Amino acid sequence: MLESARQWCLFLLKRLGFLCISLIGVSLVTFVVTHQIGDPVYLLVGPKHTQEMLDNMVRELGLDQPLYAQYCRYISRLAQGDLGVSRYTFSPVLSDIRLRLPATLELSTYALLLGVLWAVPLGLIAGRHKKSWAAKFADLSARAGASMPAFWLGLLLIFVFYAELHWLPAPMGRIGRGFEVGTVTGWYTIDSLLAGNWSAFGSSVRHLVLPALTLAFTTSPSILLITRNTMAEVMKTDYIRTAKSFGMPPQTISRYAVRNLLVPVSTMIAMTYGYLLSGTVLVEVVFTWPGLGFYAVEAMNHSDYEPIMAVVLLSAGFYLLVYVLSDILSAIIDPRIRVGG
Amino acid sequence: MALLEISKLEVTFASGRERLNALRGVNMAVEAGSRTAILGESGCGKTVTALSIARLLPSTASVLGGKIVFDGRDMLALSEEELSGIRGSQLCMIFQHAALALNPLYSIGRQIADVFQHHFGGGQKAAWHKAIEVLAATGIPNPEERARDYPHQYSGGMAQRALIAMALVAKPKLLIADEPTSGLDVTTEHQVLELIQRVVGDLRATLLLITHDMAVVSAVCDRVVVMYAGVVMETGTVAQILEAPANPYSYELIKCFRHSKRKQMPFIPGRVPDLREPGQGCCFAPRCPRAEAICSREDPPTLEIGTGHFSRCHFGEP
Amino acid sequence: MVANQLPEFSAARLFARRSLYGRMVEANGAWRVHLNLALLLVILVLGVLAPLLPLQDPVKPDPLGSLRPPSSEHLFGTDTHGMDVFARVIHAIRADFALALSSVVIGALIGAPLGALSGYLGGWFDNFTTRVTEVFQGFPQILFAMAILAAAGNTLLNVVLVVAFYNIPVYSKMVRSVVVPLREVEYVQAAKVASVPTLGIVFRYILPNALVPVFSQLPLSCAYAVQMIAGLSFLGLGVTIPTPEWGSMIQLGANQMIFGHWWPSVFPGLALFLSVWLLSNVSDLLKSLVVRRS
Repeated sequence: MLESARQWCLFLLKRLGFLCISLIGVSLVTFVVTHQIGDPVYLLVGPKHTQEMLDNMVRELGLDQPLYAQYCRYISRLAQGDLGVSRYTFSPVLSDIRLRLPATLELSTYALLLGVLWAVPLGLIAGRHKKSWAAKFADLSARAGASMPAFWLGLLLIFVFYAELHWLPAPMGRIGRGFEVGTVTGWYTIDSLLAGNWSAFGSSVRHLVLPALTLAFTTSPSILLITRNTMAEVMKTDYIRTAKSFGMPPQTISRYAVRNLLVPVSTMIAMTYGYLLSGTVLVEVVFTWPGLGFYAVEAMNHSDYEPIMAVVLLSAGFYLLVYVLSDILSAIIDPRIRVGG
Repeated sequence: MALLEISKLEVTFASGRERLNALRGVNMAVEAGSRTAILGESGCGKTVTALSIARLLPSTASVLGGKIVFDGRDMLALSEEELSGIRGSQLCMIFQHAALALNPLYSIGRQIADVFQHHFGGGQKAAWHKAIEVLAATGIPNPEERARDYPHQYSGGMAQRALIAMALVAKPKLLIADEPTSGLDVTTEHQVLELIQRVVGDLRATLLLITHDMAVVSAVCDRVVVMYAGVVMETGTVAQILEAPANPYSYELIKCFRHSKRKQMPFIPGRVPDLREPGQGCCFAPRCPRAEAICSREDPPTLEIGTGHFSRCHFGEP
Repeated sequence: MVANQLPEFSAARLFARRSLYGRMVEANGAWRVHLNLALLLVILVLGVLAPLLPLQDPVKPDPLGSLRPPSSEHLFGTDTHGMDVFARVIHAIRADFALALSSVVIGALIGAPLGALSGYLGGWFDNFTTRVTEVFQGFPQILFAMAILAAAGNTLLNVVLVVAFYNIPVYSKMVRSVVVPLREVEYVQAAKVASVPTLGIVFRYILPNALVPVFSQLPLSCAYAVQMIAGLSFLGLGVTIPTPEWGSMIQLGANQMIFGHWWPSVFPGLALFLSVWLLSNVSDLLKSLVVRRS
């Protein structure tokens, strides 16, 4: 019992250490990019400037200071939540992000759910029955999803379901015009349900369908493939053969097999989720979805640099967090991981 | 009426675009209560034979022909459902490298308890106690704690005991053990073999032991089936085969054992035939010191040398 | 002993060294190999020969002839500026493939030796490079590329460099995983004893083992690179209008989709889709050549 607790502490410490070092690494990279590549002063001041503004900016950025001092300033600013001010929204980047984060989170989460619901069952069947139609279909859809440009698929779906069939609304944001949704979570689906506003709920769902499907189809192939491949491998193992040889029924065999899939599949799902936070950029542009990606693109179009870097930082941090959490989950499922560290 | 009878069993494997003829007409009978060994070099088809009996062949294998009758049932005709009813309670198979043959994500106790629950019903607690009981019976110290451990925490010998414990719980009529002592040191090997004998005796079961090690055969078994290149070369009692082998292959094999160190694979000059080729005549002919022209032309018949002693050869003596 | 009556082995079959092409066909079937290679070849040839082919001018605007649907004159129709979509799609092969290929090659040329050295030397160098690679694992690729291009300037060279940068860790990891098990192999030890310099050992004895895996990964990396480049162009980064490039073509036609003019965006997207699909398939075919040593 004590041994197991000690193992856990060591493991958690190692993972935490990894997270911290990686976050520092990420901040170093973003620091270098914001302060050293190109002309940071020009970037932050913008195309319309005077010499005085340049000088002020130099002092403000501390560019006259040694490098490590600049880095420390950068870190302390970050720690205080100061991500800069956006030049075209005129608000602090942090509050801009706070406003838009729920939109991206809502879209990513539903996209992930749809993707998992599609990929995991299909992968399980394809892995277990390798020559079946399901397996061939899985192969094809995985290849198609991975090869298809998400922004093109989005446009195609808009053309078919909005322009031609008129089944779904115009790709203009998260909800129809005139709907009022309270802001408890920032998720229109949840907030409208909490308020009992069924029509708002319906509208927000109808606006979610196409972008979520687009994302789900193009990001689920990796989940599909790992589910299928791991299932096929597991079914060939000696321990499944032993279970069969002792007469265990198919349901138990499936249960035994699936537990061995949990770690690789959950890791891939976590990585996909981490990727999705920033991977929605192109889809958000196509559907005019007011999330982080759209924000970054708008900033870029206005030569506004700080928002882009803030979103980069946030995405990288989110990914690392999700990655470490999934590692911990894997260690709970598979005791061998705790030993390996 | 033998407990297990195999006649003219032919099994091939698909390898890339080719087919390997793993079993080319195996004939074998195992009497109830006996301890029979299938002895041979690696690749001779002994494991494939064992897997065929339990119908645990991988998907790349196809049974082309033959019959396997176990306890009066035609094994090749049974459906998966019927098979899972037979496996465990009537026959079960344990594999080499026991630690890999156990699910790494479930505790040993849980896996044994599951087998018990499936075959005998009852609650989880009762099954867990049973698991501890059989672990103790196989000589594992501290069974209450060990039951909660995972396979990667077990040594090779302990894992093999755990598998035998699983067999104890299932109570099969026929226990097939595939090289149960490979990878184990001499002392552990001795203990595991003793355990297998004791368990088979307690269960009043029949043992079919796959091995390449003559010493294991003479220690544990009373009958031997010698296989080579997918066919049975000779069958008989241990005494008959060891002291008066009638088949040149068995003769060479035993000569090798007597002259080489125990743990090594026996070495007979020449190469094992290519399993992709259908072959003509006796498969051992190219390496056989006794071979004559007829050997490469015609398939040898099965001669009855003595009571229950058969040899597949054109000649009655090596 | 009847030594001259061996069973009939077809020695030729057992011992012949089949060519790479032969092995590929055997592992995947003639149809798959020929279809994928042929289609990819067609695309590449069309791209290379584009200026010489009897196509319409891909950058000549025709305001009066804008948004014409597909016809015998304009196979894929015309876009908002009246430019022939078919000619543009074909010409875009050059932009997309050239950019993708250069990025991948640069990335591989930097990543492979890096991985080899890292794997061979081990120690702190190996540790350091692995950690750095890990940090970049979670970086949002398109966003980060946007940031770099905004900071360093929106030029084609920068696009190539950024995408090349993303390829470095892929090849570094791959080559490293080939090199590490070879560190202790006999002929390497022998070379060490004969005091062949470290770099020499790495390049002459070890790297050649990584050639097949690296080559089998190249088409797949090109597939990812094409997708990224098209995505960046869709956002306005990289290729400038009116240079034909699939991503920017899709963007140009995007607003027309809701009005029912589907051809300016659909055809370039199909070309992009098909190219990426073929490149992935070819990569799979090449990967089937990698002999798995257990």
